[in-house]
Amino acid sequence: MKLFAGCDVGSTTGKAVVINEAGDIMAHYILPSAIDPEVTAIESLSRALAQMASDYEIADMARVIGTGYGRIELSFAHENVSEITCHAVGAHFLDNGIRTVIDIGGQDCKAMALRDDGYVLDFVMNDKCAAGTGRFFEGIGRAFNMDLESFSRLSLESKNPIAISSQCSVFAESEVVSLISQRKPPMDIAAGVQKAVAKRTMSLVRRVGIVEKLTITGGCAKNAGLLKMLEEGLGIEMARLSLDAQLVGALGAAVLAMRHERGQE
Amino acid sequence: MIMALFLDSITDSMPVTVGKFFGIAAFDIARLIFSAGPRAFLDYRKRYEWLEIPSMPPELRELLPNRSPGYTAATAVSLNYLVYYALEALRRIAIEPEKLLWHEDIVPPEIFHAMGLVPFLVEALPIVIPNVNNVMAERYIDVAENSGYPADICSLPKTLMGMVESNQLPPPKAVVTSNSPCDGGMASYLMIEKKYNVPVFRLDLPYNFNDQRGLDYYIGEVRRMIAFLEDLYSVELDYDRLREVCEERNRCFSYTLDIWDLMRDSPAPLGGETLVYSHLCYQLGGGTHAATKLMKQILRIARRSVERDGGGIPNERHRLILWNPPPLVYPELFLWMEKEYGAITVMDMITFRHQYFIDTKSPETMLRDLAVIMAHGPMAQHTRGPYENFFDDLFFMYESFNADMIMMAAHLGCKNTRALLGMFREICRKRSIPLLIFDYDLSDRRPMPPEGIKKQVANFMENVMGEKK
Repeated sequence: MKLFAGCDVGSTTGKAVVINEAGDIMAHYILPSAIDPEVTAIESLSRALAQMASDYEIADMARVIGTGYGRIELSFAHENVSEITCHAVGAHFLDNGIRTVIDIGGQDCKAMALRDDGYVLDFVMNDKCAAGTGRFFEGIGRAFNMDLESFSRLSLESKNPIAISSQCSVFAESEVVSLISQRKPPMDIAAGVQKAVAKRTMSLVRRVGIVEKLTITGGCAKNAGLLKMLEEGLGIEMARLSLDAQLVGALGAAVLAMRHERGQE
Repeated sequence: MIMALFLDSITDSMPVTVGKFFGIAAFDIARLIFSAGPRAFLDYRKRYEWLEIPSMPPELRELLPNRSPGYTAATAVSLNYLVYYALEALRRIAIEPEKLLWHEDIVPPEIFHAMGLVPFLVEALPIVIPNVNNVMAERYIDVAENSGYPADICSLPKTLMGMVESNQLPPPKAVVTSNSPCDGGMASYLMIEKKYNVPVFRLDLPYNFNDQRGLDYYIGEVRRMIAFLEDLYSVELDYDRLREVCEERNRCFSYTLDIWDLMRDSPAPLGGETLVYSHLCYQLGGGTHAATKLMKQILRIARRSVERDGGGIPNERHRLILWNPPPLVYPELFLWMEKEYGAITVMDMITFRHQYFIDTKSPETMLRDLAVIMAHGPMAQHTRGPYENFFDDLFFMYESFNADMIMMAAHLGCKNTRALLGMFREICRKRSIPLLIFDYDLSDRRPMPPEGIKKQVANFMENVMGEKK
């Protein structure tokens, strides 16, 4: 059996996905990023392979593609492809009706317009500001003294979100701390944070143009409170993918590995 | 200043023609010295720092050999024309200073030539200087801002204002400008008027100039300009001379159309900044023999480039349309894209012009067609009037020149065109046209350095055009 792997080395987590020649997902793994991107990639792929019934090693992969910010450092990968392309290809592979993708990762945020074949037609990115990224939510979670899942659940309880006026993540965190100390309802503050991030994301995705189906990938896609605010703001329901949204970039890399091995571009 | 750049490029890549091109540059200098006298030449050298000789940027030296000999020759010939223009303008100004007329780049010089005036395109040096010496351009920008000129407008008029404030241009007797292309540009002429205290005429291009009413109004504006100049310079417009000028321009345009025909096929014989430089001849010397000669030369070289070199670059993979002026502070971008991605710029907004052959049968037809040409000049029609002026040209160019991508140069100081970016993106998505909108500043490297521009291009070429990193 020929296997293809994609390793997505992000700023916060490393992800690996392994697929077979038929495009079936055979294994995947997510772990926190180490300092060395190659260590992260090897570790995540090795652990993914360890989940499979047979003993496979990285060297058994017919082709490996690296993606994410650390992709250039992966000496064992056959090639590297930008995470923008990989998220687009991965999302389209899971649902070929997808035409717009929002990817919110640990330290950046992107919106992509897809061609009918799933490749990128246009994209915009915010890679210069942590506001509206996973790193921002981590900071806010610390202010609430809770993990992200609890924070997300808390925000869903709100009926009256408080407006967060600061656009900058540093000042927004200060504003949240002030609101907490003023004993404002925590769920309303949490929902306000979600709404502020959703607004930023909406302005980004509107720049590439919203064509349905629209989906969200990356670690922040797991934030149900954010998704709710985005759907309310955009007035459309986002397509839910059949795979953990955090793995979509790695899946796209694996799919491209399979296609490139076949000589498809 | 561009002389050294030009000669350097020739020395590096066209040793066979060094003598020939050196001769041309030397001839221009010699003519200036002999006509105006050595004292005038030395005086110019003392007064104008832009006559200094800069060195060739290392990146350009590295990238230029990627171009075919024909393409390089076209680049050299275009640069040589700019050298010729600057030296010839100085020569004529030294001889007939009382006939000097400053004009804006939106107002071409045919009528001024026919009146026997000495037209001087004020934006010529602010366009050229950032290309060859970005530090000098940025110094002028700082001078302008420190003089109270707003920091958030286009850096081209800021460069001009810095030069004016630094007394780096020969003082005018009068100025002809227009209400285009932008508020920043218009404001710069207020400052010029104040600084030199000379008469300034402003052509008023109507918002909608494509109907008969708009055109009639604009023809009236051109007539008003002629009357203003006749009165001021005590000369009369000689319509026989105007006919000769228009016929010369028609010849020039005929060669231009032939060049464009060659540009439609792949591989393109030339492109990039060479196209822009060469087509500046319309703004600099429309209706002159030198402009016609340049276009004829470029056409001959382009034909040879196709026949002998198999195109301008070795492996043409992408053909792009550039919208908005190119980054003047980073002309190497074109060469880098050609080498890195096989991406050649086959047409751009400054080069492409909606113009027509001038009907020379009567003064009325000549003035009408000149008015139409002025109204439809690059930038003139794109930053005024309905948005269709902008999009129709762009998509016509995309289809007509068989391009596979559009690069929108989103100049940080151009509010007019930045306001259209959202619509532009929407339309391109609907038409499935690959579009790169990249941030840059026209004449100032500091807000977006070359590395930042390259990063934006690299992201696009990899993710949208499928180029390997």
